[in-house]
Amino acid sequence: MPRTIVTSFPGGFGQSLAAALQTVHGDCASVVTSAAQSRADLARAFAEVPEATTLVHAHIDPQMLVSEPLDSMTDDAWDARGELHLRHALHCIQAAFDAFGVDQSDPDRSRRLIAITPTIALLGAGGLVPASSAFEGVRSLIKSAARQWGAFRYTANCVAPPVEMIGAGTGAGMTPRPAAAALVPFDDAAVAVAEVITALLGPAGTRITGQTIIVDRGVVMR
Amino acid sequence: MTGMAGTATTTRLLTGKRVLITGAGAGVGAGIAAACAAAGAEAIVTSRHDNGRRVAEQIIAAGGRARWMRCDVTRRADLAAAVAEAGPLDGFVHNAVSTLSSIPGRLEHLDDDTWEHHAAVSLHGTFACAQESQQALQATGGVFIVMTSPSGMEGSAGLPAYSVMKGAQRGFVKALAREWAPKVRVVAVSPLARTPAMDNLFAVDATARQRVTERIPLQRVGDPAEDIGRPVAFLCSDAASYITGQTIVVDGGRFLNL
Repeated sequence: MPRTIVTSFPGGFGQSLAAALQTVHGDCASVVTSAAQSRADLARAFAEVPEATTLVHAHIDPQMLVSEPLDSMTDDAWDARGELHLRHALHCIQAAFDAFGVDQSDPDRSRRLIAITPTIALLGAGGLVPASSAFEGVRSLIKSAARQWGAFRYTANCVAPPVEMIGAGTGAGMTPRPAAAALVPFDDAAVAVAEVITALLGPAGTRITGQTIIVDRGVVMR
Repeated sequence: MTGMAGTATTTRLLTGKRVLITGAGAGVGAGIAAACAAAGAEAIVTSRHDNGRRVAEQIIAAGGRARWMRCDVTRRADLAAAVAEAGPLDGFVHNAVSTLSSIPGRLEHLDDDTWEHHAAVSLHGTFACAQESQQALQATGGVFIVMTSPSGMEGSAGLPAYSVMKGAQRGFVKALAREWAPKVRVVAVSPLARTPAMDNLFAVDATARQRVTERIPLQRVGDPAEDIGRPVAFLCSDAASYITGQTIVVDGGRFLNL
């Protein structure tokens, strides 16, 4: 299994996911990142994890998931809850490209990029317009990376858990959840997502790129 | 039968309505303005440059109603002034994009300045357009439309920054549609339309037109007014009153996988 970097917000879902990945797949390093970090700063941080060839971008700032209607939102709040995090995702995958390189000589050392994009990207969520925009933008970012970097042996995919699994509340403005049968019960969101990521990082994932794997027990079906 | 601005006569779906379009000085924006006017609306043609004035004049010369306002969507004051001067709005179509949108690039080379140029129009600009138009649209029960792109759904092998912005706009539309319901609808439109750049390419490369059109089931690239403008006019009308949150793909069948 490739050595994996997991970006995370301090105390956020990313750190739980890194711990779960360490248990499920091993060889995983959690790197706390900040939306204020430049691409160069991030590349230096990633280069300190030797032999890494996989990035899981799981940095989700809880501020993104604070519900606020658009009509009263300030420009700063729009940036803090959405736009800055979309740019941070860009910087993280660019930094991964810088750190992991484009060595095409070893076909077994493919590079993998995975972004955690909650299903509000697909559904939209009232009260979470900046976050919904940012996460859907990340999905397009990952697809473009899949198209442009595929020749360099990069795969790029998204894993989409429901936003409630990663710590958001269910306050006013949240999307009503559609009723759906729970196909498979699970208790630990981080473990569920870690298991899917592990599958993507294995041989089965070498031909999967540009996709979004929804991990929500069958609530959203596309 | 041909009516105003070269468009076929359209059922007057927008009689008595008013639609503001950003980036309406040329291309798809001008086509939308023409089509909305042909459908009976007053078209509020906004653009950064004077080319929008000519679009409005052409609409008027063809028997339609239009006003031009200079508006840069990256400037709040411009947006606020345009909305205030327009009056009650039944539709707001955010069509403007960064002037860098059609410049190919590599994701690994995408720098912060280029990113910010795109974001100012397509991310922050969309946010600002929505905030500034909300009250006007609520007053009429109107519709906020964002022009997106197939690249926002499929990613792009050549225009990664543009693709990210267009994807983010889809997320914006879906979320805002939930938030503004039931009073105001919010819809995205993903067009495949002729652009000046494409016309130039077809003029210098005899095989380019065939290469492009043979991948389109309807065997043509969309005309901004006839093929793109008229569906947008429909979405601004009462006939579309049950459509919200969706991305309407208007592309001759090119991207059936979306």
